[in-house]
Amino acid sequence: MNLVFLKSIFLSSIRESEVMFWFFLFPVLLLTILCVIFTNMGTEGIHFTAAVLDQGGNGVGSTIVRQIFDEISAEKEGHTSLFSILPVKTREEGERFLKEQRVHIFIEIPEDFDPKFSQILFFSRFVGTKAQAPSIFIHQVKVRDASSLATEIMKQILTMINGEAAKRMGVTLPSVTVEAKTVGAVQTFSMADFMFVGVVLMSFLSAGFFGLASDITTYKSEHIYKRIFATPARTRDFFFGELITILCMCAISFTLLYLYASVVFHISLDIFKPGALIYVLLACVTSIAFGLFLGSVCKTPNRAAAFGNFLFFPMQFLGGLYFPVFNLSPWVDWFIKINPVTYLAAGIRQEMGLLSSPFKPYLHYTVPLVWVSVLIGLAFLFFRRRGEEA
Amino acid sequence: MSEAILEVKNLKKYFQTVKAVDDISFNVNRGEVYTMLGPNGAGKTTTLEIIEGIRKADEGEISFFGKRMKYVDRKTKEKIGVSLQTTAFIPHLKVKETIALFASFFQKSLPVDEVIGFVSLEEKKNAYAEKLSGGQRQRLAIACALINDPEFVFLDEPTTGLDPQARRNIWDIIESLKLRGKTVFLTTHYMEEAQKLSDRVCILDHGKIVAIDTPEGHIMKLGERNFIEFSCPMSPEDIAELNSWNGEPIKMEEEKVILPTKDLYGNLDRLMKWANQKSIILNDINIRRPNLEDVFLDKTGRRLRD
Ligand SMILES: Nc1ncnc2c1ncn2[C@@H]1O[C@H](COP(=O)(O)OP(=O)(O)O)[C@@H](O)[C@H]1O
Ligand SMILES: [Mg+2]
Repeated sequence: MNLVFLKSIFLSSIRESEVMFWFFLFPVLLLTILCVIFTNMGTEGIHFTAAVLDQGGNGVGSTIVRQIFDEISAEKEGHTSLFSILPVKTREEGERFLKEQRVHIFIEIPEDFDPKFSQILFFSRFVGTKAQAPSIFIHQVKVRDASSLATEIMKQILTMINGEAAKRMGVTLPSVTVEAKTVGAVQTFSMADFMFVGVVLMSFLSAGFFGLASDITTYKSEHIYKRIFATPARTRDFFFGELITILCMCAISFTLLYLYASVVFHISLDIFKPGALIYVLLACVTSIAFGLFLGSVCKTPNRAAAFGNFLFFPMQFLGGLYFPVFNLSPWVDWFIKINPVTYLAAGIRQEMGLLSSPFKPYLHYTVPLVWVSVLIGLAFLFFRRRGEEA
Repeated sequence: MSEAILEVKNLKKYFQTVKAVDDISFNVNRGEVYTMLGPNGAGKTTTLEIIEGIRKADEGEISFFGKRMKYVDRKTKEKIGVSLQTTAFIPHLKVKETIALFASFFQKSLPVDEVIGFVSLEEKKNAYAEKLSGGQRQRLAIACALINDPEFVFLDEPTTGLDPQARRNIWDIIESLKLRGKTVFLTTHYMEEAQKLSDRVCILDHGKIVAIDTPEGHIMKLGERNFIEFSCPMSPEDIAELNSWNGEPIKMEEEKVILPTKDLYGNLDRLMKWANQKSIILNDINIRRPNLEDVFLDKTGRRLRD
């Protein structure tokens, strides 16, 4: 291996001002814009749905809790309520709704709520607050965004019970503890994580579509390649240098983006799950294959950029990088289904536990790998043909 | 005697209908500066690139360092230095990084600083290659060609487009290469350059070799003669008359008339009398010795520069 060659190719790429912008700065900007837009859309009309399993009786405690639920779910002067309450009959039903994401939280008022509430009322009056506090359980999906936000708000609301109780009975209050329980192994959704995956893939793709393709075509059209191969330099050293350079650029772009997103948008560590990382690497390989293909087919950097853009935009937007693309019109559906980016994005997000993918599991790697082999095959055919022309 | 380091036999390369290189054969001897002189499109670059191993010939045979080969192999590439007609370098690399990169391609190479010194680029060694002037870029290209201390150096039009000072710098480099015993294969379309630097000049036109000789040899073959040049409007009868003087036709370049002569004083005298008698004013009268341009003109009927 010729490491000086690798170093030269790497320096040449990293010193390109456009590279600095498109690979390192632009992804950060794009992530910021996407997160800001989608976070605002979330808070403008903030609204949660809570499943409630009411096992309480007709005692004081349950009555107060029900009145509060009525209060927060009532629509006032055209404003939508903060919560919708969806009564459920069994705990299983409540948990199922939660898992299916039909509700943000599932609130359970246990059977012993009223007796305990009365007990503590009694004890606090006569012997102080030694008795066991009555509990309300809030089940949430894995501590994250919408669900945990709903839990927090509900906790605030339930502590209002104290205030209500005090007003009605003129007593010092029994404290109601709210226990948040996490329902494990269910899908959760974080907008920032979702967008992070999209932007990482975008940046990887642009490394191949624009970085690699532009390098190869520049080398060809400016006769640099010709000059180099008038020496005993080896083609494999050139490709090795290009590949490592693209991988390094992707790694740098990924690291910067991850650090930024984790500090600013508190994204999770899920991208580092081995299953997800494999798809991240596969995305790099796919991008390199497209770069080799564009570089071999096009004669000049301008043509490579034009052809690259022609493919890049539909591939990124109809690959589900920034919004889900399942169930779009049949006119674009075929493109979505052959687009390797669709599978890479779906694969990573599924592995991260963000969104379940509608595709059969093996398709997530098969479709990109088929593209990779076809493109690399074509690239070598074209390189050969061009080589003979020269 | 002189040993042929490169032998080319019946080399052919056609691009569709263009006969870029049309069955040429020649030898280059060790230690000489061998120049291929010809106008744009003569086939110089194509010939060079075939020998350098960048292009494939349609037909022909090459012996390099006494070894017959269809393509130049890696071992031969270790011993040659190449400077292409287009001097392009990997973008965003500094001068010394560019030379170090080329050094890495060879098993043996000279120290980078030594080569930088040889082409006088010391002050620019930390500059980016794309920021260099034309002459400096050309010197960098030569530095890259010399980094492996080659026995044989190809320089394809190293002075095209350079100002006179930059051109003289390159000439100095070529002369010192010769002093070091290197074999230099040069191409140019400047006849002064070919005349000044070359041990032998191969004149190429339309892919064919017109003549090969030393610069003096070429000129000697034109015979002992001079050229009387002047400008004036000429009628067909005038031309016919002047053509009859020496049994050799005059050459016309727009207003300029070139009268080849073996009898300089006799012809000058006759020309003056003729002009006087016809009341023609001869402008810009000039007498000069023949050069390679005349050789080219003589053989092809055209000038080197179109
Ligand atoms: N790749 C090519 N395809 C088609 N024609 C070419 C190609 N390269 C050179 N030619 C033609 O071959 C002839 C010789 O070109 P070249 O060797 O570059 O001449 P020179 O170097 O003497 O100027 C020219 O007519 C040129 O147009
Ligand atoms: Mg040329």
